[in-house]
Amino acid sequence: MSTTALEATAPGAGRIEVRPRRVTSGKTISNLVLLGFGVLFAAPLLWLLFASVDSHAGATLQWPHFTLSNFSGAASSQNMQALLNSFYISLIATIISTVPAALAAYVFSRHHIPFKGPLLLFILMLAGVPVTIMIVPVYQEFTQLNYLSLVPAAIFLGVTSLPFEIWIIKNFIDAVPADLEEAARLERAKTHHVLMRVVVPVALPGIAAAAIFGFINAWGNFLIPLVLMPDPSQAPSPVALFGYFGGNGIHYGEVAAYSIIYSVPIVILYLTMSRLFAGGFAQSGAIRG
Amino acid sequence: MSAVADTGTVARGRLDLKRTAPTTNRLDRQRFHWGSVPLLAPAAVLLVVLFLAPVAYSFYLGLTNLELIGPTSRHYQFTGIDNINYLIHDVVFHQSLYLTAFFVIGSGVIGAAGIGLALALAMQKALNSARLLVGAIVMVCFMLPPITAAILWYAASTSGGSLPTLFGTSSSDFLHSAPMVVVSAANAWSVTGLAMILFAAALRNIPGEIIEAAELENSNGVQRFVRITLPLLKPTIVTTILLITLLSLANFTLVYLMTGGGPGNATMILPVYSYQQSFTFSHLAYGALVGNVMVIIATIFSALFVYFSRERRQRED
Amino acid sequence: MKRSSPGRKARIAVAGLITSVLVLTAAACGTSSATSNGKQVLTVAYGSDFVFITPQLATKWWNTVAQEFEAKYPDVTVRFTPIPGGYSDIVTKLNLLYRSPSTAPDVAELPSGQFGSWIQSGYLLPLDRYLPSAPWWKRFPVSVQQETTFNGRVYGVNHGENTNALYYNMPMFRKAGLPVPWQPKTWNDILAAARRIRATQPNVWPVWLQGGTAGGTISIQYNGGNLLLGSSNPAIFDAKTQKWVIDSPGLRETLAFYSALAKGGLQAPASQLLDPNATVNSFQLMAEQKIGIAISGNFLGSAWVPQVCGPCWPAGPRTYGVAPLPTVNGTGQPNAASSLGGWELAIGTTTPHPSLAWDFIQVAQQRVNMIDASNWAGWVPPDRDYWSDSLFANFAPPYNRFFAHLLPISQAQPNTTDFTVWGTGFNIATGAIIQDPSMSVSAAIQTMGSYISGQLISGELGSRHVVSLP
Repeated sequence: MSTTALEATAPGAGRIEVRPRRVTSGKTISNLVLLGFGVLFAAPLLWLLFASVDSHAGATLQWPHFTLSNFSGAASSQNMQALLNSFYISLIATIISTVPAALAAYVFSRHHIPFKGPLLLFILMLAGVPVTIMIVPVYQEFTQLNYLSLVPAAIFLGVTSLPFEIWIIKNFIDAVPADLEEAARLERAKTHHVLMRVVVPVALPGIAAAAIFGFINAWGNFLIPLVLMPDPSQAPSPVALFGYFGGNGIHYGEVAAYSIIYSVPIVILYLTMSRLFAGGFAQSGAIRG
Repeated sequence: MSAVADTGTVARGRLDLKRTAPTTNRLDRQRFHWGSVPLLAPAAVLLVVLFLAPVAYSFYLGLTNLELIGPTSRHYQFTGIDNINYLIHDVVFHQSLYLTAFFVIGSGVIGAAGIGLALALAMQKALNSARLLVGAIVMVCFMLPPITAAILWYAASTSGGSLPTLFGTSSSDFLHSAPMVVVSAANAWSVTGLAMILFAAALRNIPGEIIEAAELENSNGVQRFVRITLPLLKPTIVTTILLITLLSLANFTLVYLMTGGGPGNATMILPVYSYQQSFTFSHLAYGALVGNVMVIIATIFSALFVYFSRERRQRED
Repeated sequence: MKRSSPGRKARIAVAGLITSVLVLTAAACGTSSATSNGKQVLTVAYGSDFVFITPQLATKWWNTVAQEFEAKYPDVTVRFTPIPGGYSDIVTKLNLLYRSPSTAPDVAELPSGQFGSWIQSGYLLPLDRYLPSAPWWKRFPVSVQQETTFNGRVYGVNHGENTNALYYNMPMFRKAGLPVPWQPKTWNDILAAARRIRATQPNVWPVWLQGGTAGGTISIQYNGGNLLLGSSNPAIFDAKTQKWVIDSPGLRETLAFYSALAKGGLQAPASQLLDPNATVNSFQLMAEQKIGIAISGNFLGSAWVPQVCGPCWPAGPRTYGVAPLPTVNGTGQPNAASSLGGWELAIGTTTPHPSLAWDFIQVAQQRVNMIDASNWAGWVPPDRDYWSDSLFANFAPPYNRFFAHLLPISQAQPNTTDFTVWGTGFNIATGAIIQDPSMSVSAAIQTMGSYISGQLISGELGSRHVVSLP
């Protein structure tokens, strides 16, 4: 909004003759800064690209002996099963974290409950708890209940994102004007029917942002599946990747190829939902125009 | 809505703990509605059973002598403040605290947030193509799972990797000669994407009229930035810093996979130290205590955040 | 005016809650039980990636044993718990599995390095009453039997052992004018040879000796631990005072050797040696002939064999010769030092069918299975009858036969939980020297000592459990 506003008023703006030159040097600096950082950020990614097509890939950066065999090796049935498991786990975890978070966030934002302040602070604090101190008690709990399998582990994984998601969605709903709900209520519309029709669509970007956050967390997590899921046929991709390193004779080329295969779905997810995602996070930190 | 009203609401703190539904036409006091309960129930049940219970158990465990293996693995006792005593004198723990502070503040707050802000600002004025390309690259770095990021960074920072090749002699080993710098850079690299989109969205929402008004008064770029942009961004800055602090504080996987806390104890940040004590040395109780310290630190940060938000809001009212 | 009546939203929430409860209950049914299809289930845990040279060989071996066992006992089915990851992941996972009777495996493949800690926790079943039915047990060397014996009772049987020695590149030696075959008598002989290699062939790495914390305490067994055993005082845990040794002539000699390599520019690049995957990388690096002399285990030679291919290097035996690591001053009888360590098979105390578990172990220890395991994991079979068995000896000539002869004189390191603390301290010292050649031996000893003294040992401050030997 601000850039277009500037550009729209630039020509013929009267006293501001200096602006075009300032904008140009500002533009050059901006482009340089951007590209400079772009190179820095892309540098580590180079190894990933080179090694995945290199038949003699090592841990160092080298010009590849081109081959596609790494990808075919990485796409073994075991690895593809792991990828599928990652989907299941992340999906379950995301649902478990986002739905309760959305409901709770609505209450925290719109309703009155006693001790709301301390409660919210408490939830915020939970977001900073490291998984490593929870893993052993949870492992013991699950062992006694015979829950050492995919679904319970995915549920626990979802719960670890729950505090953050409550917070993200709550902040988002806070920024949504309540006038819409008031108007709907004043019209004596069926309260929940209209609330669902009014609140949820408007809150959807925030919920989507939280959901993506939860999905990313679940997709990349390896400690929880490693400990809570002993059955190798249920193991997700991070555990499969991890397995490349325990063995003797690390096949770096396949590691790179599998890493790419494993990272692609989540990049696609981001790109398809990028508008919603950026919008959602923006709401939790600023206001809509 | 006028620009003035926008400024007012933009500047208001975002984590508004006391704000509920608008109070404009309510005459009665706000009451607790039992209808809230079923909405809160799923989250509450999940959190209590799967989150609070383990954390509470961990706080208890920190004061026992439970081991993962060995004589006290099955029959352990409450040992009171023995572990705390040990913690106070543990040199590695002190080092770990210092390293964690460097890691969180240096790579998270200053690194990721600073670079994120710079990127967001640069994206305001840059070419569309540059903005899309660099934005996508930075977001890919954010979305890459930690295990991939660790592998990448190991390959990139050791002898023969892309970083020594670009910035020094190809055979120098950045990872082992400056381990804390490298893992901090890796953390910043993987988290900057989040800061960037938060700031980009916030900048997008600064009304153009304000910037124009400042330009009409012949202020230069720096003055505009410091006097107008920065204050308007303050809520986002505080939010971003909190998010990144919490993310970095709990960032166990990246550092553990890259260095395991080494060489020696050079990158032994708190989560890695907790893991080492619990699982490598089998001191489950002591590892839990170190983890509890992290929880307390996270609490302090969150409380500080709330304090800063509230203070600002009160000043504006 | 009601604001939020129990309406659709509440109903959705309740539905969600019920669904999650149902899901949880559904998930509960379907994990382990002691019977399946009316057959008894025997659970077996093993390391799937780290133990055998390739994961495929591990799967092949275990499936073969399971099939033989199930053919013999048709009313029993074997259920595997493969453990992915490296050494420390295997140990961590086993520690977690043993904590509860429902997850404790009936049979497990356990590393010898931590075996004492499992005995101390009471997780393992004494096997003394079954041993008389095992003719192979008596043919194990005493040192191997001792690994799993505690207070006179035996808690596990060996599955395969690693021994260690010097590998040297014969073409490089010839080019440097060094004798082939090579038989160094003292550590100075090794240093002298390394200097000759450096002088004549500047592009290779004269000596490959790992150190540092990244490889974990298991790497001590293949690297510095061997030197310590060949030093004038090899004690790690002093039996007399029952304390961990943080300073002794032996430790100083060992660190001095590291220091000589670092200062003299004789060691491989630090970034290679400190890499967490250094051992595995060395298989490839030696095939590329980057290394002049290495201290390593018998698995190296087996890795190059065509059936294993980790990597394939048929020229291996013609390129790298092997020689025993001498003692520091050549005064050993015999003049060889090698550490001992490997993998054991054990039965859990809470198993519902101990004799079935023993039957499974018997199948695993049959001649062909035991030799196959040793061939594919790079071990020496503990049964002395097999050391000259052609199935073993011809698999990776001349390495297998050579390393088998080292087995009787190899010695194990302490295998209690606290060893990881001592080992980390030792690794910190060796890593510091590798990275900073200017560090003195005294400074390294000091670092190691203060680290170990500051850690928790047996639930107390380490300083109560350490000793310096004169």
